[in-house]
Amino acid sequence: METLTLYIVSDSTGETAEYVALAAISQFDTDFSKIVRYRYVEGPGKIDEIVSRAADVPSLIVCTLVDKHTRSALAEKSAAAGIPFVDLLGPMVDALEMRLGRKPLQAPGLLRKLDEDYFRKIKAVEFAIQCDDGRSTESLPDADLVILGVSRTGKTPLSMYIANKGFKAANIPLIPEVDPPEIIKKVPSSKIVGLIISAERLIQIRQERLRLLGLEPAASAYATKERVERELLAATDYLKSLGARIYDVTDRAVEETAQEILDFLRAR
Amino acid sequence: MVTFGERWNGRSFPDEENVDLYVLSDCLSDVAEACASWITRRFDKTGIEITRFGSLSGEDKILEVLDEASRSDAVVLHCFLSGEFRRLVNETCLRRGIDRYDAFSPVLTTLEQAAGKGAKEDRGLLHPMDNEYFRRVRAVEYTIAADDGGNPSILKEADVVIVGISRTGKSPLCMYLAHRGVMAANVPLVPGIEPPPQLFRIPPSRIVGLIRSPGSLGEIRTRRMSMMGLAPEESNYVRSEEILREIEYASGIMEHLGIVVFDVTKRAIEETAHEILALLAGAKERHSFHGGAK
Repeated sequence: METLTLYIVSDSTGETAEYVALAAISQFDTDFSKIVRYRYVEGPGKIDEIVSRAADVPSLIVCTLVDKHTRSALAEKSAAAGIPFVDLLGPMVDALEMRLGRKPLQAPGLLRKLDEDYFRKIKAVEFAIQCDDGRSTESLPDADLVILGVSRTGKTPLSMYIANKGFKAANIPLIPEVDPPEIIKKVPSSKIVGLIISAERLIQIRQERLRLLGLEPAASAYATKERVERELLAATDYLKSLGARIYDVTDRAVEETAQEILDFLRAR
Repeated sequence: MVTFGERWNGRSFPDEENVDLYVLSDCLSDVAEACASWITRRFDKTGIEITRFGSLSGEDKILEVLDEASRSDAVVLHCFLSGEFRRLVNETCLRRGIDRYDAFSPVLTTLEQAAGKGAKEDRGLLHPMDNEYFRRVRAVEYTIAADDGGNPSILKEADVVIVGISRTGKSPLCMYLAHRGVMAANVPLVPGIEPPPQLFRIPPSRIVGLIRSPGSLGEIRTRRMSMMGLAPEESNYVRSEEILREIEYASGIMEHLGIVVFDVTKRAIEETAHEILALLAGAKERHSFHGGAK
């Protein structure tokens, strides 16, 4: 069969409709690949244009629209043009409006912001997971924040916490024997933060870690004073050479460091 | 079948009503979640209480959930890849007068007509990363809603509930767990403030307590107070006898609950998190945890 074009019509970002449609499309080996998006459609004004475009090729229209008037106009005109039409979630909004006894949000600006925040957060979370612990370094130029620090300074929880606020955070361990990836030099220094911690505290944390792993702390260099001090010194030098902002996380809650970093990111 | 209008007429204050939304899915939990979240945003995230039933794989369980939906007069939103389950839910809801919305069928059926053949119903064809990331985002959203004792009514949904006194690192631990896809709630234990009754209805195997040494708590709290520009020595918050009293109180509750307790004094968050993940994964409960007391 011919390629089917999927028209997505939304009063907001249209990502939810696209998400449902892509899951459905995955279940066919037919080529449905082309997607045309009409976003931020706020009234019936654009409907004629959308339907006449869709009528030119084999297509399917899927909409997520709150406004009943726009929805029914789209439904009628699609039917008249013989185009399959799916009102995704519209009937559900109507049902809930009855149940709740109040109308859905009518402020397109607010809805758009809620939707954008939601998907922005999803993408930031996904990014932080992909770029955790020095992985996927090719994505570093896309990061809002790159966190560097020696082992056990709490880089991962901090990245996760910040991602959750909608910022893409990557983290890279600093290990004296391994050079950080070259690509870090392409990241502006304003986006790089370094975590340091007192040697005593880091020794404690690492000793505990070794014990948890069933190892004798004395048997490994990982938690020795010399090793830890050397790592911290090398890390500090390196961070300074990058022009990174440095945070001392000794006895600090993750939320506190995160808050300072977020204040900085938002002020930018 | 009862119509919306009939139901509505029977209610005195329809505009103050909350609606229970049951979200049912199989391997399409991510799609279901995207739809449910879209709906709640349309109503400014208020008035709709979501209960999720994901990864459903048996008829009996589905019928059980629909029974519950019928009893609690919930609205059902479902998203199933399995055509068999879609039909089962749709028919059962119709027969029992449950308001339901099938999020997946309309698009799928239209595509089937266009393609002239049926969908494959093969979960292997779904984008696996997407499933994973919606699961994590859902966990993160839940964890935020259930942070710091917020919203005790959703405690029952948690995969794990963390309890402990102030500054034992409950929130970052929950956040870390959320990013591993675990719905983690946390409830602060504060002398003089009763924990929410819902906490005592959670199976003890799903609650974890955090304790920290009094010395370490004192240090952290002192720093915290100074950061906030307050004089630490004047506050109960950092006084050692007060800290001891709080620890004693919390230990009492943890003992009463019969839960696993971790001492987080010298530990990174990841360590505790990984032990909790192992616990949840059904790892055989050991008699004592290193650094922990039961």
